[in-house]
Order: sequence, then C-alpha cells, then structure tokens
Amino acid sequence: MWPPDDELLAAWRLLVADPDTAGAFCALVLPPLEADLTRSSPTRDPADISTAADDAVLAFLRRPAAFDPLRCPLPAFLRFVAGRDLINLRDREQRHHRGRIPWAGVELTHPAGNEWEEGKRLADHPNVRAAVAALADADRRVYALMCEGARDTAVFAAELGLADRPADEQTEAVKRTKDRIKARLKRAAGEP
Amino acid sequence: MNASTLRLAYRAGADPFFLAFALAEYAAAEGLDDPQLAAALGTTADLLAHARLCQSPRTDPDGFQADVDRIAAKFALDRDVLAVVARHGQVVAAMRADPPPAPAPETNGSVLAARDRPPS
Repeated sequence: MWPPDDELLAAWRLLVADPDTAGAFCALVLPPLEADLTRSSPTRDPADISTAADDAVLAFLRRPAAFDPLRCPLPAFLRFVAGRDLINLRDREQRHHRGRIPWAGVELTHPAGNEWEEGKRLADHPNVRAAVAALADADRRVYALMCEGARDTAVFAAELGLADRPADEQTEAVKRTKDRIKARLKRAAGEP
Repeated sequence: MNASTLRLAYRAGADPFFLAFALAEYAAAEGLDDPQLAAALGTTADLLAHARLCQSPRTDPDGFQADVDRIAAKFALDRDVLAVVARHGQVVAAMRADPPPAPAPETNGSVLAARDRPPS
C-alpha cells in the first residue's frame, strides 16, 4: 500500500534537498512498488520482480531531481520504470535461452545403447541379410525394433504377444529373444 | 529498515555512485562481516544500512572532507575510519575504470631479463 501522496512528495523533496535521506525514501517506496509489480506480473519470478524494483529505485536515487511530480505521480513513475526493467529482464532471459535444445530432446536423439549401432554394422553383411530373412516372423519384428533403437521392454513384449504377462516374465522373454537374434546374426557374420 | 530496503542497500554495493560500494570493497579487503564493519565504524548495523545508500563522497579534497564529515555526523560513524573507507572505494573504482594499459605493440608482449654479467 502506497503512502499518501503528500507523504511521498515530502519524502521526495527531502531526498532532493538531502540525498542522505535515501534510506528513508527507499523504505517508503520499495515495498509498495514490489507489491504492485507482483500483482501486475503474477507469473514472473519473484527474484526478477525484486531486481526490477531495485534497479528502478537505484536509478531514481541517482537523479531524484529529474522527476517532475506535475507530469506524473511518483508511484506511477516508479511502476513505469520498474515495468520497463522487468520487460528488459525477460527479453534478456529469452535471448539467453534462444536456440537451445531441451535436455530431454538431446537424450532422445542418442542411439539407444549399442544395439542400434551393432545392428546397423551387422546388417551390412550379406550373410546377415540372409539370416534375417530366415528369422521367424516375431524375431524379425523384434530385430526391426532393435534396429530402430527401441528400448522399452513393453514394446518388445507387445510385439512378441506377451503384453498380458507379468513384467519380470516379459523382461526375461524379451532378453532371451534379443540374445538369440544377436547370437544368430553374429554367427551369420562369422563373428564369435 | 525493512528487508527490501536492506537488500537494496547491499545491491547498491555494486555501484561506485553509492557509499555502499566503498563499504563493500573495504569489508572484503579487510575480511570484515557486517557486525565487524559496523563496529569498526563505531555505529550500529541499522544506521550502517542507511549510510550505504548515501552518495559516495566527492573526489576533490574539499568536497571529500565535507561529505565525509556530513555522513559521519548524520549516521554516527567514526569520521577517520569513514575517510579511509571512502578513499579505498575511490581507489578501487578508479582502478576498475582505468585498467592497466596493454603492452606496447613493438614489444609484442615480451619482456627483457637483466643479466649480472655478459655471457662468456
């Protein structure tokens, strides 16, 4: 809540005449200024609100005589300056984050373990292509998922028709299938 | 002094325009915390917070003397210690405003070492 206009004007006149009263002036205007900014920008970080209010008041202290009470009331003037600072802070923050890739997106673009790389390498081998063609339908679908980089056990389990089985059973069956496929393809490629 | 104004008084320590700058630099150089700084200046923490938001004393000798005397009297600060603090702040501010000149181009950044005797 802002103090009455006459009290604010008296504090301002005193500040112009005696800059050593800056502490008392700030104690009068800073809390209501922060409260106004919080009300007008409820979604903003409270630290940004404080910074904008502080910057506005510090700038005012540097040149208190530049304020003209006939043109604008003191609360409106400080709100305007602090609001502009708040916009500048937001713009600076947006510039800082522009062009950055979210971590989640970065993680998803990584190959899933070494399975994809291994599958890609083996897939180039002529004997492996024949071995893949000879795989059972379910195994071939699992192999395709491995090459696509799928990692979720539930996805493989669904492909194998095990979606309604307990989780530990799914995990065991999927692992067994993957190991079998990898072993067969490695043999076809002549690897131990 | 309310919490917001106290926070502002500390933030003013980044700006040589305010006495808070000299106080912060002096405290850092001497390894003083707030109560120790207040004690060194012979005042209370609350009065010291108000003093932080004063303008730094002017740099000319007469202005400096007058400003230090006025601030010391108003906030019950030790005048001599305040003068030392304010001078410290002015020196730090001047050094930051005018960094040492870069090496002249012809020296290419290298230096010559002196010898005790000519090489044999």
